[in-house]
Amino acid sequence: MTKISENELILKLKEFRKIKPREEWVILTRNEILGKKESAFSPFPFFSFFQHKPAFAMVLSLIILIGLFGFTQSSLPGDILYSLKRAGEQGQAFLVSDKEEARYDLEIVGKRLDDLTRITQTKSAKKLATAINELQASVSKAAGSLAKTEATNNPEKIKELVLEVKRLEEKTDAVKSLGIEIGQDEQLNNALSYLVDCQIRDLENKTLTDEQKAVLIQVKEDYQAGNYSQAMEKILLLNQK
Amino acid sequence: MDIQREIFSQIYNQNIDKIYRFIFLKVNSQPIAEDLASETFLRGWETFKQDQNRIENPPAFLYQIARNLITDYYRERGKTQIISADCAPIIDPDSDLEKKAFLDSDLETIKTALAGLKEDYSQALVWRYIEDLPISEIAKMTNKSEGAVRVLLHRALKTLKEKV
Repeated sequence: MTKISENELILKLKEFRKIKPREEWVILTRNEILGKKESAFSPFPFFSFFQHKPAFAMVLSLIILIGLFGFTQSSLPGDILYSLKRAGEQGQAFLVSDKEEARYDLEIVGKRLDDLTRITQTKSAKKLATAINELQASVSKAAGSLAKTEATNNPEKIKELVLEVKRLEEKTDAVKSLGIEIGQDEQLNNALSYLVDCQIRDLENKTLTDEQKAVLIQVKEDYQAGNYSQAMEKILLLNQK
Repeated sequence: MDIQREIFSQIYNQNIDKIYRFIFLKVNSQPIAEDLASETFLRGWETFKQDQNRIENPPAFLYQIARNLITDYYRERGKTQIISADCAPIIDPDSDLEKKAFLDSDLETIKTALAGLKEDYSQALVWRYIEDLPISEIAKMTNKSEGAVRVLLHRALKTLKEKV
């Protein structure tokens, strides 16, 4: 191989990101390790009675579904219908494109924070513990989606993520003001840190004006200080210039 | 248990590509990488089920399991690296066959050299330049200072450059 510079070597190393496992193997392995999820709750326990009148069964099923949907939206972690609400959210998640996944997952974190706020008012310790677990699970998922987000110069995408993160910060402050300590999630911080780091390295490779260079210095300072949402806001401004 | 399963499923989704890639770059064989990667997550799940609070940093924990499995694999098979004929192709969107062949051969050379580096070096290079982990994250996973990680990366890159 001809002599290669360090930068060229780094670029070639990055090519290895294209190495991915087979999708079918990934799914199969997950199912083998974790087992397929079985639904313990069937919303149609009397369906078999109507198997000879399929049209009637369909109409009835639709009415039950619409009725349940209304009830499930207000259910909280620990409620019987909460699993249906989660199933509905997971169903919606399948329809969300890869590009929208991070934003959608952050919205779900917002919903879990709303649930937690409402549960605090019920003063149910058991539901509170479940709600906190649900919140942590949703944060973990959002952190994963953020980490998978490809570094992009699409200002609209960055803007959406920044706005979602700001909404979450406001809701988190509201929950904390009720006396609930939910702590700072390291995974989410790491994911935001990773996103900001990608953006910084992307900007370093661009030709910037003096004004933009000054803003980039501030972004790096925010990044070093762990103020990732502030760093992202400044990155957004830079991308709009 | 359902919540545990859901959380670990998310951990799996977030890390499966990285762990597979990490192992593949060491063993250079798709079937072996798949075996070791699934064993990694199986062991991870067993530990997680018993006490998820023991695992402070899931990616670091999974990488540690993967490293141990790779060591065991080489101990059993000897130091000879098995080059598999059915190793996963590196996808190159460039349709120019001649250029593609040239690029692939370059990458094969680098892949072989990377696999031959000492563990600290190859690991640091994979984490930093392939998985894009920030220095701070690598420092946490290796229990080193950020300065030490930068030095390690510099030495690793220099050694890799000499090997290619």
